[in-house]
Amino acid sequence: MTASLRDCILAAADAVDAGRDELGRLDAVAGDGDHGLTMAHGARAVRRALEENREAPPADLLAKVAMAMASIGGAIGPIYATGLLKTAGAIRASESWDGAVTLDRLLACADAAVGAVTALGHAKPGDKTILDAMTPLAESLRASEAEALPVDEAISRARDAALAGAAATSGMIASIGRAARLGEQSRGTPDAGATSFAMIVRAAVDTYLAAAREQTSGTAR
Amino acid sequence: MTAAQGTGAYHGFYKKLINDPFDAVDEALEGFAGAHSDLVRLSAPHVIARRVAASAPKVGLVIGGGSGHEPAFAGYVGRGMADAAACGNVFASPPPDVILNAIHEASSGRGVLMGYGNYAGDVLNFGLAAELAIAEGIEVREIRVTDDVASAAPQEIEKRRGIAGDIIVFKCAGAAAERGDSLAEVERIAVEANLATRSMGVALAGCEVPGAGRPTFELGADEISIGMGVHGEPGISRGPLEPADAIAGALVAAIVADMGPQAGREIALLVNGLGATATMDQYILYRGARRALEAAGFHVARSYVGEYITSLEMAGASVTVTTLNDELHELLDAPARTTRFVQ
Repeated sequence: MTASLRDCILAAADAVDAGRDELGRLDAVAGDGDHGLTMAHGARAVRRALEENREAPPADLLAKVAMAMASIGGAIGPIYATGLLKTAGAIRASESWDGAVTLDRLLACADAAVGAVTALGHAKPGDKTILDAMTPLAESLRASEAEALPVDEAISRARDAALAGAAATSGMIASIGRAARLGEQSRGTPDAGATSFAMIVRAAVDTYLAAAREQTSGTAR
Repeated sequence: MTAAQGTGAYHGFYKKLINDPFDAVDEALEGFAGAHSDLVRLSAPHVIARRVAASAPKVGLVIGGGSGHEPAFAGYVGRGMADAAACGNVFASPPPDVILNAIHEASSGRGVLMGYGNYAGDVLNFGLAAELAIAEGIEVREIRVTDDVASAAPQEIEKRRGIAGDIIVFKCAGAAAERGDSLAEVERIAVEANLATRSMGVALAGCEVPGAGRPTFELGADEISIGMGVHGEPGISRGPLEPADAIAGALVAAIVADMGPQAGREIALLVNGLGATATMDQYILYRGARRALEAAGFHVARSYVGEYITSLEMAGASVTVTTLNDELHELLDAPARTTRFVQ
């Protein structure tokens, strides 16, 4: 194995901190401007959870991270909590988890997370929410699995799909959540929740891929 | 956040009397509990509870929401109103565990009503907390306040957000609980008070979430925003600054149009300052609103003017009108002893 789940989560927390101002600015256009700070509170709580659960296996660690995200409140806290809890559940359900990252396992996790967030928030793709970054990620993994792509290539594509999905929310009109009350005024700015999700995915995936490349070159030597 | 310039102070868009933005809510709550220790205590992180519980078992009233709206929501904890307030981070709903702790404080065996403004985050977190409490055997109901007429059309009233009308609804529900009403009765009264209450606000200048480094929205030097929310959500229309009477007239017209034909009714009138608007201005706005309402045939039976639910340092105010029947009138008139609401 290459980068640990812990490394990926830490990189995501760092990315959220680095993106705090941008997220606040995006949220201020159509919402109340708290998204950057709220996610930074989440990053802080998540770091504490990582610190306090050094020996936890992946599914347990994700469950702890889920509770850390729940503790930030707002709408985004429960959304991350339910998505991460279902992801942890999907990992537990995957037989004899040995840490190996396979496409079918990733897809099961992504589908579980999308299902959980949909069930909680009642949003659908196109509503200008976090789902507009999550759903393309899941669909990209599905397409890669159908094509039997190598895992690293599939992960890289999934990251790009999440980033593209978040960017595409710029053209949408918010129809759910606090931003919805602005209607047309929300067009032209990407959704803050979708953007932070894409930031997290990019940081985690890049950490994973960098470690994978390092290992490959190390093996080659 | 811009870098501290040598002094360690937080340099945001507005000058703020804070330390680390991350600690703002905790420090404000510590200060609040210390200042008002005769009435309240910080019973758990982000939970303000009554110092002395009611002498007999009663229906508990838990209120809450994001911080940054001081004196809401902790300012309404006390005899005759709420038993506990669950306080979130700035402009963010409290999480389920905080709300559950507040429910525990408020519960004395006759059930608990949760009251909060209708926002997506609050609905999710209070809903989860209710499930946890019900699993423990505590009977829980909820009232989502939906008084802001600017936030959705009349046929979509369930989508409206809650602003200063919170105070009226919590006051009536709290008084009903204090006199010993059952949970079903307290809930019915809260629903009635909410349906009888309508608000509309105007923003003159924005506010900044501590740590954001920039205002949640900006208005031109001569520009106002009608219909803004207490989280600084931009309003439904922007225009040039007008005299207070014209603004009062516009707010009252929108509220009265939404109420339908109710002329001749007794009403309560609440003018709420959003944080940075002078008290003098609030009274001028109140005068204008009262005149407009009386011209429309209403009789103002009870009035409130002041900062009841703010939005950090936002400038502006809102007007809230509640049509009263005998029961709501009596409950609104009942005594209360909280840090912000004394009568």
